[in-house]
Amino acid sequence: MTKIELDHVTKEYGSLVAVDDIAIEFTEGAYTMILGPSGCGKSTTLRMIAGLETPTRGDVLIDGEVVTDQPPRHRNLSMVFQSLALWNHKSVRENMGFGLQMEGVDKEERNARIEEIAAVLQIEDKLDQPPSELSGGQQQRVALGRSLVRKPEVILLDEPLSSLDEKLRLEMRTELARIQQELGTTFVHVTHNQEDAMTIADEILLLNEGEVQQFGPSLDLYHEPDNEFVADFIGSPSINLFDANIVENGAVRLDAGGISLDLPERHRDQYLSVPRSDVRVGVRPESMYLGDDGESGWPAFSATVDVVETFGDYNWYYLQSDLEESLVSQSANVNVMNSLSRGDEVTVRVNPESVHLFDPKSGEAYF
Amino acid sequence: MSANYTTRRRAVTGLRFGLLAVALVVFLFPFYWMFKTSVEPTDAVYGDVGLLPGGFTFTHYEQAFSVGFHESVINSLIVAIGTTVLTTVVALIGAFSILRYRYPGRGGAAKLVLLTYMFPHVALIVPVFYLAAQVGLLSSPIMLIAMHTMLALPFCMWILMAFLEDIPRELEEAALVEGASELGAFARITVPLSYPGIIAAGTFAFIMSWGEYMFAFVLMRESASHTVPVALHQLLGAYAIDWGLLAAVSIIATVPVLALFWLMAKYLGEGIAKGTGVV
Repeated sequence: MTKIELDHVTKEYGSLVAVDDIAIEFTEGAYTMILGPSGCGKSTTLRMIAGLETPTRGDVLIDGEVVTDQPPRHRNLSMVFQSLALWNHKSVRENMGFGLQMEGVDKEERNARIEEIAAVLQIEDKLDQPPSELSGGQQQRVALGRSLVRKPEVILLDEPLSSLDEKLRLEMRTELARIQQELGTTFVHVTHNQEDAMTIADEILLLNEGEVQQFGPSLDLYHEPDNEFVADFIGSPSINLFDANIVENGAVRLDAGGISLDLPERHRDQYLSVPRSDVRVGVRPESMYLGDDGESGWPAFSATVDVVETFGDYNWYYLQSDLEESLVSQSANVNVMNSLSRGDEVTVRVNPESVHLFDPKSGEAYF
Repeated sequence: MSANYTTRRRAVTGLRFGLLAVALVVFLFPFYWMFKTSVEPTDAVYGDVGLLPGGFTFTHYEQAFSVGFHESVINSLIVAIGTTVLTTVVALIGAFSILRYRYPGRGGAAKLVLLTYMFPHVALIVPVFYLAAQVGLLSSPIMLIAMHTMLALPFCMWILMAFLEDIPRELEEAALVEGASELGAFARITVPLSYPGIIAAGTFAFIMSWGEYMFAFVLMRESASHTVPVALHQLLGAYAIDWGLLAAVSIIATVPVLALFWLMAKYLGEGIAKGTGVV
C-alpha cells in the first residue's frame, strides 16, 4: 500500500491562489474523496498528486519520498479523467494494455491481465472495438479498466461519474466502492457531489477557495463539522442556519429573535462556556421533529408548513416561523407523514444534543 | 407536396449540376488541350484546329526521355519529398510546442511564422543566392529543400495548429499517467490522432515544392540539377517552340501531383477545411 502526503502544497496561477497551503496525509488503502464547490482547487490538488501540475510551493510525497519534480510515469499511480480520455484510434484492448506495454509486459501476459479485468468490469466482449462504439457506461468501465489493469498503488479519479445519467451514476458509484474494497488500492476521487462523497468515501477532504475546511472520516464531517461551511456543504437538504443569542435567565436559552429555544439544564455549562453571546446556530433537518415526534422536554417552537416534498419513505417539510429564514425538517415518522400537509400549524421540537454553534465572524465551530 | 414544388426542386437540382458541369469544363479544358497536343503529330498541331487529336503518336513522350526530362522529374521528386518530410516534421513539432507549452516569446513565434508567409519572397533571391554560393550549396537539393520548407512551413503549421488544438490535452495526460514520456505521448497519441492534418500539410508542401520555379531557377544552376519547372522552361526554345514536346512534359509533370491528390483526397478536404477555418 502507498501513502500519499501533501506537505504544505500551494499552487498559484499568477495572482490566483488555486490551492493554499494544504498539509494532508491520505490514509493508505482508503477511499478518499476530495470534495468542494467548483473552483475550490480540488482538481488542481489531484493533478499535483498525479504529477500533471507542479506545486508553486510545498512537496508531494509518495511513500515518504518527495516526488514533486517527478513526471507522472515515475509515481506508480493511474488516473481516470473526467472526459475519460479514451483513445479512439486504438481498440479497447489497446487502450487497456497501453500502460502494461509501457512497462514492457509481453503480449501474452498483457492479454491475460486485460481479459481478467475486462471480466470483472463485464466488457470482455468489447475488447476489439474502438471505445467510441461503446455506450457511456461501458466507456466508463474501459477508462477504469485502463487504470486497474496495471494494478497501480493509487488510482486518482477526477469527477468520473459526472457525465453519467442518474441511474448509471448510482450503479457505477457502488461498483467503484466495491472494486476499491476488493483491491485495497488507495482511491483518491474528486467530486463536487457531497452525496457521492458521503455515501462511498472512507474519508473526505473538503476544500473551499483552495483551503482545507475539514479532513476526516465522512461521518465526522456530518456530525462534527469544524465550521459553518462544512456544516452547510455536507448534507441534503442543507443544515438550518440562523443567528441567535445565548441568554441566561434562570435557564439557558437560545434567543433567535422570533423564536426562543430553552435548553435542558445539563447543557448549561456547555453553552455558558462559549466566549461570546451572539452565535450562529445550525440544526440538521432530521434533528427538527414535527408534531408529536421527538421528546417532550426538548426545546420547541411553532411553525407553519409551507411546502411538502415527498420521497416515499420520508418527507421534507419547509417551515415558516417567526424566524426570517425558512427552515426545513426531514421526517420519516409515519404519523407525521400521514397527518401533516401544506398550511398546517405544527410544533417543532429540536433535539438539543444535535445543535451546532458557530462563531458568527470566523464560522469556526464551538460545538 | 404539390407537383409544382417537386418540379421546382428538380429544376434547382438540374441547374446546380449544370453549373457544376460548366465549371468543370472551364477548369479541365486546358488539361484536355494539353493532353490532345501531347499525343498528336507535330504537323497536326499546326494544322486545322479541332477538338479531337489529329492523329495519335507517342513521339513526344519518347522525345521527352531523349532530352533527359525524366532526370528533372527525379530531381523534383528528391526536392519535393525532402521538403514534405522536413516541413511536416518541423511544422508538427512547432505547432505542438506553441500550443502545449508556455514560454516567453511563444506568441511572438506564432506571429513571426505568419509574417514569413506575407514576406515578398523576391526580396530573398539575392541573399539566398549569395548564401548558397558561399556555403557551396548551389545546384544542391539541400539548399532548395531548405528554401521550399521555409515557403511551405507557415501554412503547414497553421493547418497542424488547427488540428492539434482540437485534440484534448487529457488524451496526452492519460498516456503520461499510464507511463509514457512527453515524447512518447506525443508520438503514440497526438501524432496518430492528427494524421488527417499531417497528410493535408504534407500534400500542400509537396505540391508547393513541385511547382516552385523562382528559387529553383536561381539556385539550381547546373542543368543536371534542374527540377521540373526549370527544365520545362528550358524547353521553350528561343526560335522555335515544340508544342508537342512541351505538352508531353507538362503531362509528365502533372502525373505525380495528380496521383498524390487522388491518394490523399479523402483526408485533404478535412485538413484544409480545418486549417482555414472553412467548415
